[in-house]
Amino acid sequence: MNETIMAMSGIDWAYLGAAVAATGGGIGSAIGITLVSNAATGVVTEDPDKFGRILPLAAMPGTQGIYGFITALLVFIFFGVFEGAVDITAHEGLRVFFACLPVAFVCMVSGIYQGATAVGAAGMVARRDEDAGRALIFPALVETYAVFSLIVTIIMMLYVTTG
Amino acid sequence: MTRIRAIADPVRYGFAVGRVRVLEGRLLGHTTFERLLDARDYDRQRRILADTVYADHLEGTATPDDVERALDASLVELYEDFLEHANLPDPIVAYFRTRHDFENLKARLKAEALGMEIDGLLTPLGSVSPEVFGGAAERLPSGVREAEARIKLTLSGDDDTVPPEMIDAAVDKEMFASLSTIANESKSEFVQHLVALEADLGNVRAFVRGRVRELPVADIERALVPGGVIPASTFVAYYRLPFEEGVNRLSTSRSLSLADPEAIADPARLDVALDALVAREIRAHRRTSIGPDPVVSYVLARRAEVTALRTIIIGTFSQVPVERLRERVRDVS
Repeated sequence: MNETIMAMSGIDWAYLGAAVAATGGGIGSAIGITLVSNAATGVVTEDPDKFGRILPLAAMPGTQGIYGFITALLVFIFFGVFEGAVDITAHEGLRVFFACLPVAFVCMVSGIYQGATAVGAAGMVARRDEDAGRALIFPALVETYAVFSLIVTIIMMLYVTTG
Repeated sequence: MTRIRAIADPVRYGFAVGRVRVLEGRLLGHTTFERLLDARDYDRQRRILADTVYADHLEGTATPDDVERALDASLVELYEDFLEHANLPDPIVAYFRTRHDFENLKARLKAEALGMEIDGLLTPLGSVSPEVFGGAAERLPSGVREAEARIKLTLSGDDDTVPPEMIDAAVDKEMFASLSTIANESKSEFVQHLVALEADLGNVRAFVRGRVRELPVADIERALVPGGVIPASTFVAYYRLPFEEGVNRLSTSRSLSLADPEAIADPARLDVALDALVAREIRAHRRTSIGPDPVVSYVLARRAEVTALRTIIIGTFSQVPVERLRERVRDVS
């Protein structure tokens, strides 16, 4: 195991970072959407007119997966993976890997908890149509930290490419 | 564990809670009950209920029997359309259905003991088809069959004619033992708490009614059901004390801490006081964001609503004074 790690090249570390970011964000979104969609389906079963008001809540945990995807794309674009010729040192690759971690972990956790928060918000919308706007705010607060993690990841990657 | 629950509960109960959030908005409010009480005429009451879930069931009804059947049908619909199609874990469904199986078992044993026809005594709300209870014991599900065997063994030592209240007590013991097992399987603290509370309140009823009828301690011991927080030995010890003192001491227990001891000591106010305790529990758990609590609370609230409707409508047919009906109608909204 140690030998495999020591033998990893710069691009191997960068790929690992991209994979971890996309996977973490994807897991968070998949679980988060499942949680809120269950409740949303129940609400719409009893009151189909609420579909439009519930949909933004169900879609909200999907952003974490998008942030993971963006992070992976940035790794590929910044380090010329699409152009074919990739030449980064193991040290740089490791820094890219670390840069991907904020999105990987924060998006996984926040996606799940945003889904759990959105379940309660769906209950608010089910009771009163007028609360649809307010109901979006609470899950959106969880989103803040996913956005912060993406910003930190981008800044760290910019530092790697320019520094 | 808490983290696993944060994911598991929305997955298990999300769909049902979503439905409940819409359906609880359709529960009848205090104003509707007041209007029904003031109507004093069944046609007017039916018009008040025209926009509710009961409208279809009450259509064409004219007599108290029709109303009883219509309200039973609304409960059957609640169990079949909601409970069975809400992707709920089996123990949660069993918590509601099993008590009706034991209700049917009571009917079976009483019909047998008193030589009555069982038809008309059975409810369709259980997990087992009511026809099964009219047939041979071998057709009963194993749990109910074993309970019946144990009950018959308990009652076999008594006289040839077993009084119906002894059948009730024996079946209730089996039912609460079964409900306690179901509550533990449900892993829901709320369901476990509710079963314990129901057992305690059932025992309080037996305690108070026993004292009023001056029954011997042995009869009370036989009537006490398992599964409560207050041990049977405590009930027996307090039963030997003067009535007021016994009730006052019982009132300090956790289950009864919010009840008025004077109401508990008064058999005419006892049921309302104890039902208010259950209603308070239900209201407290309705607001839980996710999990079994809102679902269980909703079904119990609907059951209480049907009971209140039954009291008001049948009371109106029987010309019971409004104030008396008002006292008996539980605050379910």
